[in-house]
Order: sequence, then structure tokens, then C-alpha cells
Amino acid sequence: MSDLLTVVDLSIRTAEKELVKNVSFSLPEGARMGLIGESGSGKSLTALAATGLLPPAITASGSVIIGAQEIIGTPDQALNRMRGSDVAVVFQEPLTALDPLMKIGDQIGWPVRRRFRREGQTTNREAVRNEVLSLMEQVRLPEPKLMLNRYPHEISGGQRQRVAIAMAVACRPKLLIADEPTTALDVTTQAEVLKLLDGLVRDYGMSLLFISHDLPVVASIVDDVTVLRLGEVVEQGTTRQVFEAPSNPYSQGLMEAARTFDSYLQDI
Amino acid sequence: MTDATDVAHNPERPKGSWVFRCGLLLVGAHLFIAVLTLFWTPYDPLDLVGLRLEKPSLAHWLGTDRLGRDTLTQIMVGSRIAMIVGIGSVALGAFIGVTIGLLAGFATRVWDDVLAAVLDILIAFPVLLLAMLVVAASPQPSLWTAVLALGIAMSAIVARLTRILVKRVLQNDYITASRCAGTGWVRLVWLHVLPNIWPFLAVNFALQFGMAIIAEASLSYLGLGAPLPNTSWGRLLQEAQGTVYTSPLGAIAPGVALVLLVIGANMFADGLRDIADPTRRNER
Ligand SMILES: Nc1ncnc2c1ncn2[C@@H]1O[C@H](COP(=O)(O)OP(=O)(O)OP(=O)(O)O)[C@@H](O)[C@H]1O
Ligand SMILES: [Mg+2]
Repeated sequence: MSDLLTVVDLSIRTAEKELVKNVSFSLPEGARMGLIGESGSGKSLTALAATGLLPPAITASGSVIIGAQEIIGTPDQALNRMRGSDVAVVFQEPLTALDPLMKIGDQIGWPVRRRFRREGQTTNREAVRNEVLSLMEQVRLPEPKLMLNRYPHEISGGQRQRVAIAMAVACRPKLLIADEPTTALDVTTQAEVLKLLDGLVRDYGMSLLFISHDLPVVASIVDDVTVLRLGEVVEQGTTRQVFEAPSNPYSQGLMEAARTFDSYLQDI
Repeated sequence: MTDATDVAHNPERPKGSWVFRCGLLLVGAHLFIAVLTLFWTPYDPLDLVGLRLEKPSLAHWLGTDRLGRDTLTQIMVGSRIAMIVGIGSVALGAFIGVTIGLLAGFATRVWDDVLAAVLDILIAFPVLLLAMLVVAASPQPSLWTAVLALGIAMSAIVARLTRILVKRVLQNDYITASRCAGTGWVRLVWLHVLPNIWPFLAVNFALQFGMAIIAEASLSYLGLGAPLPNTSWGRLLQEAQGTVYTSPLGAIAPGVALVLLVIGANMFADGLRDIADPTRRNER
């Protein structure tokens, strides 16, 4: 299997500070990897760098290759062609990731239209609408027909995250990056959204880069993990290896915390 | 857009509706009169239809001016001038300003800095002064010179506002999310940027409409406005100056007309804030 995403010596910095240092990992086609680490360890920045969407004040060096396309240093125009088709992202904050002034149906509709055009299908209203409704059903949004005309502030947080997932899946990307898609949600909704993502990734044969600080969450959905700390990789391996025999004190700490939390959950 | 949603949950906003209706009524009345004058006025605005400086009567509701022309007729025509200059200059300023503002908002660091500096310098000049310079530079004064002058003079303010609004909108996650799904720049502007900055721009345009009308009156007062037969309120004020003690109505009437329209425009602007934003639309 060839690698879909290859990150080599990725460093990300502002004028003052190095935020991510020499991060390397690779993700074979169809594989699922978890990127874990505490808050502020540079997970979101790594995800943004992979799509070439870092804020202007932040620069990246090293190499990120998706498919055959080098991302770092490539002009935006060229990257735009691969965004959506090769990679799509579900962002951390479901509220801010949706345009407050655009109806849900349109937010999902635009990526659908773009994919239809890319695939040479007709992009008439009827076809797009049907696909949007079908996507809404796939992400289990209730009353899809009514949802079409709602604005983001009129639906719940869990529903917003489902909309964001529908938008990403609407692109049918080869690689789906999910940046803590469940962190802002309550525990039950979290489990539902995870199951949903798991199913969608399987159904459409997407590769998955799943970002989280929550180990049990990651373990349930990915095969390999990369552990980040303060912008550096401290451990890499299969989920099993890292879970059962964390070689690094930091990962051991994370495991310990997760186990305590787990047993706490079992107790109540 | 956290601030938009914050206000959405602010209960103290029911006053918006009556302020908006008042504004709409005042501006609408002027607009109605402006359109009416295209087809009908009580008298011809330039005909000497009465004696000089007549007091108000049934024939001349607001009296006559020092040449014997009907004051009410002239004020009604003044509404038309005000509307044309107000709408025309705001539209021109909006077109120039939003275009430059969008370019600056998306530009690279260096170009953005250059544009921002130029805009800051332009904004440091009063609108009226800039407009006077444009009028002075144009070969022959006409109604359109005033529109052009005020439109250009106001465009710098629109450009700067647009630039700031664009920058702020571009920082939002939904922009990154949309770009990451492959949205191109043109679509991005059309689908996300313009709709999200529009409520703020619209309020600004309504306020500038009022400003433009005052500025046009000032230009006309100074003799730099549209020439006859355009009986601008500013010109009426200036002409009534000499007879203000013997026949004060000639100065008061155009002044009141002007103030009513400007207040109306400001109230309209205030009400518009609530209406242009769908996150607040459900409040009522
Ligand atoms: N626009 C920015 N400018 C300057 N520093 C930034 C910027 N964005 C992020 N950082 C810094 O980079 C570091 C990593 O941020 P990042 O968002 O990648 O963390 P994260 O691992 O995603 O954390 P979380 O789990 O809280 O989302 C943080 O220390 C943050 O302060
Ligand atoms: Mg993050």
C-alpha cells in the first residue's frame, strides 16, 4: 500500500516561537491514525499545515505530501484543486465552523455541487438537493427537510457537528482529518458521533487522521497513534503497543490518566 | 461571529422596530415627494408666481421667496435633489469603497499596508473638503459633479470599513472550513464574506446617506453645488439668508426638510442593524 499522507520533519513557527518541531509520520491509503497530545501540543496546527491553511503569521517548513502533491510552499491556487477531493477537515468547534448566515442546506450543498462538477455530473438543484438530503440522513440529522432551511444558531451543538461532518463527507475526500470532532459534545453524543464517523470512513473507504486528547476515544477508532507533546513526537506505534506498553513517561502519564478516568466512569 | 450571536440573545432590543418604522416613514415620504416632482409640482419652481416674500397663504402654503417663486415647490424639488445626491453618491462610494476594501482585505502584507496608509491619509481630510476639491477640479458644475465628488470623498471610509470587516470575517473558522472544502476565492467572497459584512456595511450606507445630504447642502450653500434649475436645500438656505429677519420661513422650511430626512436616515440605519442580520431576525 502506498502512503496517502506523508509528513517529514514538519516544523511550524511564528516569528517568536517554534510551535511544532520535526514531526514525521505517514498514513497509508485506507489507514486510520490517531494524533494525540494534551491541549496546546500542536495537533490543530499540524492538521492545518496538512491542508496549507495555516494563518498568515505562521510558517511551516519540512514536507507534507498528500497523494503526490507537496503542500508546503505550494501556492494556494494549486492547493485549492486538491482540497475537498484529496483531503477534507472536520473542525474542533462545531459552532464557529459553520457560516452563521448560511442555511444548513446550502452549507452542505456547495461542497456537493463542487464534487458533482469535479465528477462531471449534472449540478441541477434537484440532484444537489437529493444528495444533501441523503447526506443528512447518513449523518442522522433529524427531519432533514426542515433542517435544510435552518441557520446554525437554530440547531444543537451535536447537530452542528453532524452538519460539519456531512460537509466534509460531501467532498468524498481520500483523507478525512477530524480535529477533536467530539470534544465539544456531551458523552452520549460523543459516542454517537464517533460511531457515525467510524461507519462513514468505512463505507466510503476514506483514510482517517483522528485528532484528540482523549485516549479512550482515539483507541476505539484508529489503528495507529502518534503522541505529540509540546510540538514534538514522543511516541509512535500501533494503538495496542502504545496502550499496553507506553515507552515514554509522558504517554504513560496519559494512559494512567485515561485508566483512572475509565475506572471512574465504570464506578458511577 | 461571537458578537452577532451575543446580541441575538440580548433581550433589550424591541425598540428597533418603531425606530426603524419612523425612519422608513420619513425617508419614504421624501422619496415619494421626490418621485412626485417628476410629474407634478404646485407651480413651476422657477416661475415668478406671486409677489415677493409673500406670507403663507392657501395659494402658497409656505409663502414665496424674494423673487416671488413658490417656496413649497422649491422645497419639494429640493427633496429630489437630496435623494439623487444621497442615493447616487452612496452607491458610487459603495462601489469604489467595497472594491478597494475587498482587495485590501485579501491583499498580501505589503499591498495591504500601502492601501491602508493611503486610506488613512484620505480619511484624515473632511469629506466636505475632499468634495470641494473634486468640484473645483471638474470643468462644469452639475448635479452629477456633486454626486461624483461626494461619492469619491466617502469611498475611502467605506474602503477602510470593508477592509477591517473582511479581515475580521476571514479569521473565522468557517472560512478555513470552507476553503478546506475547496471553495475558491471568488466564491468565498460571494458566499461567505459579502453576506457576513453586509449588515455592517448597510448600516454605514444609511448613515452616509444622511451625511451626503448634509454635505450636498453645504456645497450648494457655498455655491459649489448643482446649478439652477436644481433648487437644492442648501441653495434655498443661502438665498433666504438675506431676508431671514423679515421672512424667516424661507430659511426655516428647507432647514426642517433637511433635518427630517437626515434624522429619518439615521433612524433607518439604526433599525437596519437588526433586520439585516438573520441571527436576530427571530427576535420579533
Ligand atoms: N494563530 C496563532 N498564533 C500564534 N500561536 C498560535 C496560533 N494558533 C495556535 N498557536 C499556538 O500553537 C500551539 C499549538 O496550538 P494547537 O491549536 O495546534 O493546539 P492543539 O494541540 O490543537 O490544542 P487543543 O487540544 O486545545 O485544540 C499553542 O501553544 C498555541 O498557543
Ligand atoms: Mg486543537
